[in-house]
Amino acid sequence: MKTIISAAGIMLLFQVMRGQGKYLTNEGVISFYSHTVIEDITAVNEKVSAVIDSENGEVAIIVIMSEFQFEKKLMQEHFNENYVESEKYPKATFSGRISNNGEVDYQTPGEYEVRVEGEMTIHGVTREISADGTVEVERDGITARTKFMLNPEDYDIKIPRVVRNNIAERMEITTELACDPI
Amino acid sequence: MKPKSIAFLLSLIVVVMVQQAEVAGQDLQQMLEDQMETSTGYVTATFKATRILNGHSIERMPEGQLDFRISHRFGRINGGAYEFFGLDQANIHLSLEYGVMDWLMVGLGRGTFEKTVDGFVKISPLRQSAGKNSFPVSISWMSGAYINGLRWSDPELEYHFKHRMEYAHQLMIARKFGPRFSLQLTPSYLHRNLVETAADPNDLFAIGAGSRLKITSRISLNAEYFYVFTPDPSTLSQPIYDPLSFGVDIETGGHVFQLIFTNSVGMRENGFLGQTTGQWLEGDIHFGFNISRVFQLKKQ
Repeated sequence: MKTIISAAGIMLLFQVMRGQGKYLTNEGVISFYSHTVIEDITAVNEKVSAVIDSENGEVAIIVIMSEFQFEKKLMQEHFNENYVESEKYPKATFSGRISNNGEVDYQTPGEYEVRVEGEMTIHGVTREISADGTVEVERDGITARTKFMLNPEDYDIKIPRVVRNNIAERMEITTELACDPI
Repeated sequence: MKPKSIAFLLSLIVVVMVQQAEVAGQDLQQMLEDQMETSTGYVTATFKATRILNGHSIERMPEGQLDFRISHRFGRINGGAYEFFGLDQANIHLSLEYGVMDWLMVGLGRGTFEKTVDGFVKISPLRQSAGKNSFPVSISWMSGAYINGLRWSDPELEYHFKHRMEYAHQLMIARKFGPRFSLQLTPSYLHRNLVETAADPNDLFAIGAGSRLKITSRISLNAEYFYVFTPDPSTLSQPIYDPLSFGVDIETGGHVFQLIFTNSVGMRENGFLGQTTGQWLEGDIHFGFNISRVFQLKKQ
């Protein structure tokens, strides 16, 4: 009897421990900015899902492409229909880790410099990327931020010659993921 | 505790730990995926423009966008070299169309055909969607009024302004079957306050079908047909035929170009439903185009 109770106790303990040290959001913000002499284009997605595991620094991000909001509706339609082909490739994903996770003290509030590395998939094309960013540890969660450049052509997103001068060759991507502990 | 139970407990701990390790190593991506709520995704770009070819599509201008449309039909191709295969003649329809709300669009236009001034209202109460709140089709409604601007044909008769008026109402039901193919059904009603002779009906009913086949990300092939319920054509003052059109949509930035072959010279409902006198098999084919240029008047 005692054995069963202690076994149940151990299982319960592990059950509680599961998911510990993980931080999650479904309202992360990713925006991109394209600058040319002719036109500046920005789009913001405020429904980004992300999870960060503080134990090993693993990071997973899912971006629903059709949630990017543009100033011009027509541009948004073109983005989904002609460039990223959202119906065919509805999600962009990132799967990787914070390479210097050991330097982040998730118990002590403060801002820590981090480097993130991993695989990013956009438009069905997967590439290794890395970016510098910060993890801000707060009392009730963490906020991860990065800013990096991305070349759409790397992901097989074709930009026709007619609009070549309106769309930058490299986009600036800004990420802000305010995650709550789970 | 007996050694036996200790051994059992230890092995249990090992089993649970292995399980835990598996859970920890389990794809974080999968875990994220599993907890995401399925949201409602509205289908966009069922058609590229607010017209399939001649007739309306379920699409509207979104709020704050102005569409300047230039529609053009040349003469009949069977006019031969003398008429430069129809290119000597020109019919034009200009219009300004605006998205008041995302679901409400209004338009005003002026055309060569019967020197028509026209206006319309289009609403889109239901959109095709997938996911949480899925709905299989998009539904729009269009009501238009047309004012014939020609001088009265018979100066002996007493005419009133109301005699210039024609009205059309259309229900549009469309579905996008995957990213490449869209289909629309368009039950239509046309009322004409004044017709040529007593044999011509004041009311016409028609059922339309239109489709879009996307062949590249910026080019699609369109077809459109209206079956018009008419009495015996021989009793009419002039026989009318069902309008049938084929075309290509070419999209660049803020423009949509539609190149069209059609047996109708009228570019509005009163024209193509009520007065299509051309026959495809006789070679009464008009080449033409629609150009749509969109301006963003209000930033979001």
